Amino acid sequence: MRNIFLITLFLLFSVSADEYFKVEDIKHPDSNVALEIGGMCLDNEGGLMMTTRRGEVWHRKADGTWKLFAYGLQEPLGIRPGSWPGEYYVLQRPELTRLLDEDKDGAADLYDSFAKGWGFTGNYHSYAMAFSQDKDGNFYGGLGLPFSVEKNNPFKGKWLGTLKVPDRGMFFKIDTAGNYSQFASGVREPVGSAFNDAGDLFLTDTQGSFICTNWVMHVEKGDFLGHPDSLFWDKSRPGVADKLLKMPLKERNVELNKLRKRPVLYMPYRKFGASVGGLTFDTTGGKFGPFSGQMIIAEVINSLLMRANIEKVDGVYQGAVFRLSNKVGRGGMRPVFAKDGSLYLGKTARGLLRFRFG
Amino acid sequence: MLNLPLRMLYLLTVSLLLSNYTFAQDKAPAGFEKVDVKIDLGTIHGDIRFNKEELVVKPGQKIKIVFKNSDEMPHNMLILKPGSSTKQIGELAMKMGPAGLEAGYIPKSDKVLWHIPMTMPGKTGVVYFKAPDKKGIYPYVCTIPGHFLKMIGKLYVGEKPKKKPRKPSHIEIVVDDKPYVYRSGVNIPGVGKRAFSIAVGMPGGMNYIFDAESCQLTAAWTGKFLDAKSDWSGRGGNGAKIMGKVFYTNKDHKTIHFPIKGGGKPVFRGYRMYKGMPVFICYVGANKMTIQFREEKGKLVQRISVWNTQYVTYLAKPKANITAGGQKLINGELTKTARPADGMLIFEVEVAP
Repeated sequence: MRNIFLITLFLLFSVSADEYFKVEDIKHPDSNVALEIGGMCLDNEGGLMMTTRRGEVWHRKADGTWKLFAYGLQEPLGIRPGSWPGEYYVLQRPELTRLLDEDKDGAADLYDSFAKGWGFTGNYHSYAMAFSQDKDGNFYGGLGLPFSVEKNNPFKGKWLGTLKVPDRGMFFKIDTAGNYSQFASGVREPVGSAFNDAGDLFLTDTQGSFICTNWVMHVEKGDFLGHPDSLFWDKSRPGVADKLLKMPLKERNVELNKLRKRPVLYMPYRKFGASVGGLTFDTTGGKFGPFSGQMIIAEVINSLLMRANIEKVDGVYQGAVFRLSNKVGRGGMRPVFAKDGSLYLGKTARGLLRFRFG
Repeated sequence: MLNLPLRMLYLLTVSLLLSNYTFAQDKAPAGFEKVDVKIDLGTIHGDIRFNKEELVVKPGQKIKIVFKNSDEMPHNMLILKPGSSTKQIGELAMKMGPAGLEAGYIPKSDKVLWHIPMTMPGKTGVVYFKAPDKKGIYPYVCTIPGHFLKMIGKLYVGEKPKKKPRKPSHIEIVVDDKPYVYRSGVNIPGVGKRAFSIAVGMPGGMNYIFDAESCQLTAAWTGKFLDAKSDWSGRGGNGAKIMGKVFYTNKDHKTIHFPIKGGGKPVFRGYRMYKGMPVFICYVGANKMTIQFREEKGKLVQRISVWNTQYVTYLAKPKANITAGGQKLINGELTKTARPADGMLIFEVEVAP
């Protein structure tokens, strides 16, 4: 019940933080490279790893030089470092791939198909993203719904998934041995996920059918996060989808409302972005300004960068979202904090920004 | 929409030809004896269009436009202020009715900057003016009733804005002296979209697709590699297209069969780059299998290595032009037996255009 009373605050007119940050626009030296960043993480030596829409994985070393680490991947939208030097895990559309540089020449030799298990038809909208890793090394990610208005889809509406493709709309976990399992259901097009200091997992999901506006969810195992399509695949809720479909529409919606978890944050559409990007937590201990511990949220369409202050009240997360900047340019996808407290922002619209406080 | 104005136009033309309408001779006004730019303008015969629909001049230049009417109907030319609607001025001229004829269909409007008077077929009209200092796009139009629908143009004072480059119809992945590997939901002709395709383009123009779901060759082609436009533009992700000439496809035929019930279902386990080319790794139960491709004398050769099995069967169906290296094909079926020593067997299968 307490979820129902969750209050979300919106501060529409916050002071712009632009003047307090130095912004550096980092360019790839080769203008032929389309640096359309979809996934980003730190390497272990102060450099950055970036995955691009054209399937490349670029390594920007700490000294500022660039090296193509891997290529030919299917729209990789997430990357995490492995436990070996030269080892990275990349989430591409059909699988989680372990890349390993075996001969230490700075480029991956082994493209190990580490984990798979979800359906994939090649529909452009069936992204695999919201990639993150917990303290124990387990991986998490979300499976976007394909874009199709299927006539025989019982949960009528726009932007629905197709029922023929297993596990679309699920949020998954992959353990360190590569075993894939369902973690939560009800996502639509989750873009980012991240753990906070307390080890709680949060994800951003994108506005569309059943998702009234972009929101941030606190995800726990077994949650249902709002979009009904994945209920057909949700092994923790056998028969629920069929039960819902037998109900008249009004009752069904009431039932869906009972089932679903409430977001931590709603981001008012347009005012706080049209298409939400990834998120991270400010773990810089004050090096990035007065926002230590807050959530940093990227945005794709409206050139926004947002921050959110969340707190746990009676065991439930809630919070408020603020604009940090509205001048970051389009395509904000992956906010990643460097060890020195600066913030990298990887953008799908070709680019890499670095924000330094002060 | 054209019907009424066109009808009016013909009536007008006839009436004009019958009338004794005369025109003043054009003489260069003071200061325009010498001009900076002389522009020759004409018509596209029978099309009710100016032959030039874009003119470019520099600010402050002295301009002379000579309009030669080689058409069968009268025309004029009005140059308007930037942002003016040619349609609005054209309609204004039409509303002048019979009085318009006398005025040469030049409506009174502060939007009209300069004009060439109504010019009869075969005659020439001239206008002199000094281009404004203000850069901009000055529309021009013929206001003989009905003509404004098509007979329009733009006078650019300053530079003509650069046209946005047209979006390319395709984005080719060019394979040069190095192989290129690209994973995508490739559209294979005659097969359809295969979401788990790993396409490889080799130097020399041999290309193939290894399917990461069925763990086998699904297409081979020569020539250009892939068009990645539907993956790399717009929202993307819609799958690359094969650009070259396809000579082999496999829709759903299973080629490799293990001596286990059902022949065994292979599981894709990735690939290892060897000299820039992927060596694919699959498992069928506990049996490891690698598949390596190369080009040899215009043929695509698969080298298949299988561990820990006594034999496998390669069913060469559905294409008859598959041959297995050194082995005879009997009804397209090859059974290869392992060397007993290490329990590993290696065989090659060729596909040729």
